[in-house]
Amino acid sequence: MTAKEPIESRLEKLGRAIGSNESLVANVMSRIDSIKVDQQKFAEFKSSSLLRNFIMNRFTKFAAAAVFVVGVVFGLKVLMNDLARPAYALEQTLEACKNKQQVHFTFSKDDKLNKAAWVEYDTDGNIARVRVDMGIDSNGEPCQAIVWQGGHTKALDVPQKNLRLFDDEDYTARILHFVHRYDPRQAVEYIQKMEQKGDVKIGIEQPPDRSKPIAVTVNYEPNTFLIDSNYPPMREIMLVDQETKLVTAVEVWGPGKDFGHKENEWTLLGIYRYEGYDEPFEEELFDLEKEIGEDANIIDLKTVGAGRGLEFTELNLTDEQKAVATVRALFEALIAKDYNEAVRLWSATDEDIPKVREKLKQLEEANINVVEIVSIGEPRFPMREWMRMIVPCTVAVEINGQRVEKKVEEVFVHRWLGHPNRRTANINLDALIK
Amino acid sequence: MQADCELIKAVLDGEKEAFAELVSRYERPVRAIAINILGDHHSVQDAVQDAFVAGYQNLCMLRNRDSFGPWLMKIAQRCALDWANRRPKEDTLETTPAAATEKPNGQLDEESEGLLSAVVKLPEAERQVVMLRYFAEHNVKEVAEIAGRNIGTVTKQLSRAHKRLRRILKESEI
Repeated sequence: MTAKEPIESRLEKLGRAIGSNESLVANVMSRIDSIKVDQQKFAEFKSSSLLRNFIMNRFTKFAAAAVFVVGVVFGLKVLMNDLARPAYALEQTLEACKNKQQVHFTFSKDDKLNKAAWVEYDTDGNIARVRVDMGIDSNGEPCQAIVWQGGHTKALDVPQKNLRLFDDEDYTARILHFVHRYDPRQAVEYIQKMEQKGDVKIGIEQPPDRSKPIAVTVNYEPNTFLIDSNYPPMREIMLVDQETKLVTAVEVWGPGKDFGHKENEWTLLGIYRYEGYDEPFEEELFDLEKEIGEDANIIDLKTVGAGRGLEFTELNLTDEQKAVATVRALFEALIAKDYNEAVRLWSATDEDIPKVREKLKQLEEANINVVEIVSIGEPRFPMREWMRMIVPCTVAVEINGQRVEKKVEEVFVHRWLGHPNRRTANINLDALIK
Repeated sequence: MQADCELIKAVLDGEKEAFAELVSRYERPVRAIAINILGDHHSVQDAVQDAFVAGYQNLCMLRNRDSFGPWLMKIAQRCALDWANRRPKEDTLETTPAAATEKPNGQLDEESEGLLSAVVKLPEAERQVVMLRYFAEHNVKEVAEIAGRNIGTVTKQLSRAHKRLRRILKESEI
């Protein structure tokens, strides 16, 4: 064990070094047995003398009869109440959630904790602040923690110790959408609306045993699942506590294995568990600066990267149009051999820029000149991404004076956090060199 | 995974095996407390046994069954201190042989001892989750079930404990 090792592995090693003793359980239990014998003798003596006194006493006989009668009456009353109890309706959950100020839920996949969210509402029921931990590892450390409060977002990349600060409405909408999706109150309202439109079918199963939860099964038609619209048919099973009417868990099911759709065959994709309602959060939960410590890199995206990429002022351009324009500008810079401009349009961190310059130098040394943009294909978002687009292109290059057309499949256009109209691009230059 | 409080209920209802489960579950955390106080191997075994037996005898007096872990740790500390007082004085003059690597069954190198004493200094709740996670080798979900806490709470407590341990260790280096 060395002082430089991560604390987690040092603790694991310490646990192993502490060791265990195979015979401990047997030794402890045999010592307990000897104690227990004495206690049993005492307990047997005590209970037999008590019982004898109880049976012999006229007063206790009368009391026992009275207790029996009261018991029967009470039992009948409970039975009648149960029979008279109205069937569960989703409105009861809405009512139960109405005044909740805090909700904390987690998402587990394959029984491993993956995400956790803490949501706090203001007195009007609007979301006041949110923390979401994503990609939680076996030690409970998230890969990324995001705090949103009053329109401002802070995203902490835990392994890199980078804390990014930004205001981004689209990003916020997505974070809040995720929260809305599993905020029981809004989720219930949503599925009720969807049911009215005929997009979902809801089934309610209320077991007579009140210790068992009510199961609300929601079957989503294709493309109606909440987060993305291009989902296959989906199923959720919402478990509701019979007493409190609060949602305790939501199981998310997809059709067949790996979405290979098969009728009536479902795979459990994960479980949202509601860990607590109205349990006040510690203030430091929302203080990422304090959490990350002094050696963190705080990156204010409101000011970082000014002058990089293309800033579109025409607000009615689509993402696709912006992507095409950015790719065109980058290739035009390469055609003009304006490498400073190419680097300015390039998506790279400040640390990566020397590498990009090196690549561009390789292009020049190999005597490869980009001479013409032959075509720019239709941009598309990679599966479930929204911050970058892939734009397939074909360009003509001259290699030692010979013109060759090259397909460049991997041209990515990136949207900047906090700057919804800024775009940068990068190209796999190997596609031009090889 | 049964929560501590469920096992305790079973024990109090007369199911002896349930206590065996608690012994297995808390063996390493209890050993850790004893090693931190006693250092040497033989009295550690005795103190650990005593702690569990005392825990069993006093179980019906435990008011909050969810706090079994911290409660047992206090008993373990008391039992270990009792054994420390029983030891002949010359024992304390013994020097621990320096070792660079981990040693089995409770003999720790200097760094491990430092880390263990830092763990023992953690606040009760954090100490319990660290011990269950790393010493008793339970995953976060199991720790949450055992301790009767939310998973989110356990993850936060672990994360805070890591930071606190790093700080304690750094301070002890200075």
